Amino acid sequence: MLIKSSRVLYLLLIVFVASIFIPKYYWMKFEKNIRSQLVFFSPLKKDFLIRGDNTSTFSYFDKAGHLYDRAAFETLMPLLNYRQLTLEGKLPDSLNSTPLIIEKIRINNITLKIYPSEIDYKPIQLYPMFESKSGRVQLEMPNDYFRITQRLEFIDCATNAIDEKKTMLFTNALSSNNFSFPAKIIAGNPTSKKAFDQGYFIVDTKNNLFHVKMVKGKPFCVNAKVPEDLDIIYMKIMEMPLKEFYGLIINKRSEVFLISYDHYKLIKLPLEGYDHKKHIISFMGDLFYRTFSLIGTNSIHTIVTDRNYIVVDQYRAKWKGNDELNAGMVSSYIFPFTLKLGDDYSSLSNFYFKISSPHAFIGSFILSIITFFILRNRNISLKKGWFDIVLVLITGIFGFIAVSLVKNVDKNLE
Amino acid sequence: MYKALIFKEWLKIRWAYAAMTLLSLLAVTYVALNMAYYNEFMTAKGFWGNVILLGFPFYTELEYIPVLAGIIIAIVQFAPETNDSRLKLTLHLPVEENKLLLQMISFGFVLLLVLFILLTFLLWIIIGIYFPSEVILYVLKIWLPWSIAGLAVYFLTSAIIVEPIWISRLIMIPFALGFIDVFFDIFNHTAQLILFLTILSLFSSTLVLFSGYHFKRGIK
Repeated sequence: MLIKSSRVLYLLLIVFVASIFIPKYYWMKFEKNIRSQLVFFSPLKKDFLIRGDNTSTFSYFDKAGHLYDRAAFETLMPLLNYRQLTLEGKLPDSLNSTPLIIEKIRINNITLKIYPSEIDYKPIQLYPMFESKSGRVQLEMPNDYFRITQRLEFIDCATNAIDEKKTMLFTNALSSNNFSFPAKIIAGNPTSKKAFDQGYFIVDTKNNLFHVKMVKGKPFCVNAKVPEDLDIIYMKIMEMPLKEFYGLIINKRSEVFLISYDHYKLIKLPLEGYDHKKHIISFMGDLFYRTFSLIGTNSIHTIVTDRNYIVVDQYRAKWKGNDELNAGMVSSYIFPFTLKLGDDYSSLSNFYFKISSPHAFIGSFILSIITFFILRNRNISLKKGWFDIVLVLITGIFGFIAVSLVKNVDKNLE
Repeated sequence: MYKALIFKEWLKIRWAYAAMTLLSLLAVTYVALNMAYYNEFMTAKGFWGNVILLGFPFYTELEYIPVLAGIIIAIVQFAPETNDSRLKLTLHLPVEENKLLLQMISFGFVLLLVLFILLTFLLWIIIGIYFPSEVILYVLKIWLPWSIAGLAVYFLTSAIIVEPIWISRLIMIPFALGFIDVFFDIFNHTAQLILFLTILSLFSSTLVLFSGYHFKRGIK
């Protein structure tokens, strides 16, 4: 019995390893690099310009199917390409009767992306608190990092000890603003390579959102007064010279908000159909428009709004993914399922189990019949070998590899 | 009988075990010296920034130590047994053969476990000199799959060595390699994944029984 269980375990180990590695090697050979479309909105034409998946040439098309070369594209997207156009002396003086001033174009241009894998990523819960008004041109990394437990503790890098004085100063500031310790989410932009510092946005245990930073050595703490049922799961904070919003909030229901500089007023973005587990948000902004693209594996949904976030135009497209190409069709017949331990849409190593379409069962069925004959050849009765057949029926090629490689326990010798 | 068997296993393993312990201590010392060096030359806040914000891996020297220990212990424990078919004699002792093999393998397992716990403890201490608990836990989470891989590789190597049929040995090797590779492929793992891998690793200790069964029956 023990020997038999040991063999079963061996089979399962082979199935586990095979279901990870065989599809992995298969896709290393056959996977096509399918790129997402890039979608732009021309403030000149007031229409979309799309760059297809063929990225070796600079070719753009619009919804009507007209093709544009690189130079034409740059002329139609003067705000995105203002540096190139300035170099060529082609930048218009004004657009939509607004004068084009380079400094203004520059600070109004925004590009940022939010990936699903950054949303479920939990960094080490230690953060540097910058001095946001140091009077210096450049920000400097502080000599301590903070954590939030039942207080806001500063730990000195050189001594690895808690700075009690600073800790009390900040803890008292938070407590007097009714911060309920510890923190659920701490979000900031912990780099000294930014123009200025806005500190951190922190969600406490009662779902209040606080803005915390250090100004001339003193704590700055403001309750942003967001609704309690906002259910924030992620915040992306970025200091931008535009100073229109501190960053973005994503909540459990995949709603996206901007935290505006105007008394932390939340601006809900009109991103219908966004799923934070499946879509990348690409956010491009210029003097006139905001372009949000929700990029899935085989689809894109682009929403253009004006500067008041009122929808102006939308674009949707789908294309064939690897699963729908020949290699994908073949794989769905060969592999009844595949197992991955990592995923592009998550930062976590976990079981990413994918069951193929039902017709993989045909392959498994044929393989289990072959297994039946293999077992007969090995003089194993159905009563003794049923597990092998069931294993092949469920796990298809992976089980078949295991059963055909590992001999059965010989009943005569047992 | 059990005591005598353990003593025999200890006689086989002791020098290799001492060598692996020494090597592990050297590796930990090296990591500790490296940390002192980084702390001096990057300055403390530079070192913290690199580790906390950029995930600078200052501990990679330890990555393959458990796997190496697992392989070495399995070889010194089982290779001499199979070379002159001495295991056959052992298996004919008046003790149930499966029990005997499990006792042998659990002895190696306990020794490795002690070594890995010691390493974990030392790692905890040296990181704690420079960093708060958040960083210690972060590194130990990365270290955990590496040490479980050490146990898994010990069980699998034992099974491969005891297996008398060459073709079966050759079949086992790629799957064993694939299984071990998984431990070095995962990062920021969930609790359920590491639990599953740990359980599968512990159960893989029984593979030696399947090999031992072939051995005793003299299937070649």
